[in-house]
Amino acid sequence: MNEDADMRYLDSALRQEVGGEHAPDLSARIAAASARSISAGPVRRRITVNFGRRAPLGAPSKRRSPLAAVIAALLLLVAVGFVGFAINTNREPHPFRDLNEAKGQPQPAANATSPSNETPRSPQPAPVVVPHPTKVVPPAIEPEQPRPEQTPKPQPLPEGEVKKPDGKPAPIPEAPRNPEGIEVRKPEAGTGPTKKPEVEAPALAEVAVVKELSRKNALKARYAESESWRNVEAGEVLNQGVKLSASGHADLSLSRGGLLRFSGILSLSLDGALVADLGSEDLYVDNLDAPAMTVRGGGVSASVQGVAMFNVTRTSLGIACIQGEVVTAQGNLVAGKSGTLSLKGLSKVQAVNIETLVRKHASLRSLPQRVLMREDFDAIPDERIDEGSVSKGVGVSSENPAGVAFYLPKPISLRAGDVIRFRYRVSRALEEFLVQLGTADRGNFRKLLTPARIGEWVEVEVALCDLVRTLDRTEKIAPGTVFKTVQVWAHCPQACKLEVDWVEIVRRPVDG
Amino acid sequence: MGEELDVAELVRVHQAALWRYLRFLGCDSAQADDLTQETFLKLLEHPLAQRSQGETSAWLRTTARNNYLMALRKSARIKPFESLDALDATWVRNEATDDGEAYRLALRECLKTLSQRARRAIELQYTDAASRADIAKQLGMDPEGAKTLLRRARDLLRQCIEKRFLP
Repeated sequence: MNEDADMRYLDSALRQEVGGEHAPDLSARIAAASARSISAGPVRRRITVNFGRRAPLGAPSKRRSPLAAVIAALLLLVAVGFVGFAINTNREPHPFRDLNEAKGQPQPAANATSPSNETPRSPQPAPVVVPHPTKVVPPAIEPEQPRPEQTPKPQPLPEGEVKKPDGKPAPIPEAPRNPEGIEVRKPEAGTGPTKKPEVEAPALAEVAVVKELSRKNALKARYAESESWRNVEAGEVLNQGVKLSASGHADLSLSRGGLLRFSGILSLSLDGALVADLGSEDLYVDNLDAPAMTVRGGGVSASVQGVAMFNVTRTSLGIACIQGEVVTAQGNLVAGKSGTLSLKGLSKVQAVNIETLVRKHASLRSLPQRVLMREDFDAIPDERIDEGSVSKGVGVSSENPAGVAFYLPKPISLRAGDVIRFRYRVSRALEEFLVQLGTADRGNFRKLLTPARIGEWVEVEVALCDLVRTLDRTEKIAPGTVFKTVQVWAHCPQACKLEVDWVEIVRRPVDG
Repeated sequence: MGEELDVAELVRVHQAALWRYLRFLGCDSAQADDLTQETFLKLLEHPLAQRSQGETSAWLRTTARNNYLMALRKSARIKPFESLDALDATWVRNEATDDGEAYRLALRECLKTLSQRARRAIELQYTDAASRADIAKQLGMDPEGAKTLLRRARDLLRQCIEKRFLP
């Protein structure tokens, strides 16, 4: 019996029993779709699943553009005109015909049999020129046609058997795709013989996820000027091209690593690097140990890799660099320096620290915390478990010493301000309790902790710069140390049970 | 004409179970609507033959599952595809004979055995779609406590249902 599947089935049943969820009656909708499918004629029409109206922002719905129809009609006219012109041209007396005939070159049969070369033929398209509606897809982009062997057909199966039916619907049945995987939609019958199939635009790249909002409905988004603003909630994925408007402030986790906090208007796009266009108010960036990004505003731009605060006016960009470096065409700002960047250059360079920034910017009153790693033990792969086991979303060990240890998804380089937090519970009094980080080449670094109440969940936070080397406790961990495992150990007089609910490593801004 | 009547009957008989199956696999309700429709349209594209209800149901499930996988690939979302077989087996075990009615009956009974606090947490989560933080707030707990409470409640429900439901 699969416990996860059982829990999922229970979840599904609870949605129905407690949440009142019921399957809708789709009979009318299916009948209507079926009627449309039948009326589409002899060409088998692919019924596309249209998620456009509910797709996440940036996943464009597949709509047939009216512009495409106009272009198709123009192409048809040009093609018809060209054919007519070509026919008429062939029918006019050729100045070199006699010469050609004298050379024995064959003449077009139409010309040879034409009763009168002087009579201009009306430029009506010949039947063979106008494509039939059933052949409107140009061969070059004709998607693979559904093959008989791909056709799913109900076949006799033992009662309740779930094996794929014969003539099984393949995982990608009948999906007309070109080699690049771009979906091509067939034109519907009656939409014009030269109408080109519309090619779906590739999905927009994900740039960030909304992490936290200062208050409800604090963030609105849209992808085009023609769209209306809509509320965005925490957890929503943002794609390139998004324009955001935050009242209060909003925290975004960047897909390439890093954290943004902003208030005002901000657009995110990709131009090799991530580009943040700050339209108004301010933007806090923490992309230490992540790819550099560009911040634009006030007619100027700067590249940042570190921790920095930006505030924009109509003609300038205020920059305060806390850690790392901000590079501009007019000069660079290192950690602890602030300045004003405009088309005239970088001016008013002076010292800055977090305290002054917090006083100046309301959005920094609660300092942004960048979660470098969080493990909830909900979906951790077995290969990342180093010690202990996972049961029901909790890391568990019942040995002596009891240890829960796991590999990080990717190594983390220690910076000042990094802390580890975790939530644990022990079943007995402990002799020793510690958290330990394993490095690739310098062994383990640990911090002894005081075990708290027995049998109760306890949350603990440890500054990583307090860790010392396990084999030499006089050696403190140094910034830049790269660690790859997290371990929590409980030493008991007898066997005891250690449970760890979650672990996270968080980076807080500190003066560089 | 007779074929159309048969199809209408097939839709009537199987649509709810198919929709619930898609929700169980992980579709949201809108996606379940779309994929249910697409699955029946695939059925319509092929000559109908008289099949038993179980056979048709199995065919529809397989087709719906493939449609779901295709939709996931299109949206580039990563899902543990290999676990779908386990999900399917669980579905068949619980739904094969009575569309899951016995399971839901057991669930109704088991819900009564939960503590008032746990039942309230479950109601908040499933009726009001409350977040863990909201549940914690309403019950006067911290979010981790709410997580633990919900996890325990579901564990209790699963164990209770297994006792009542499984032979």
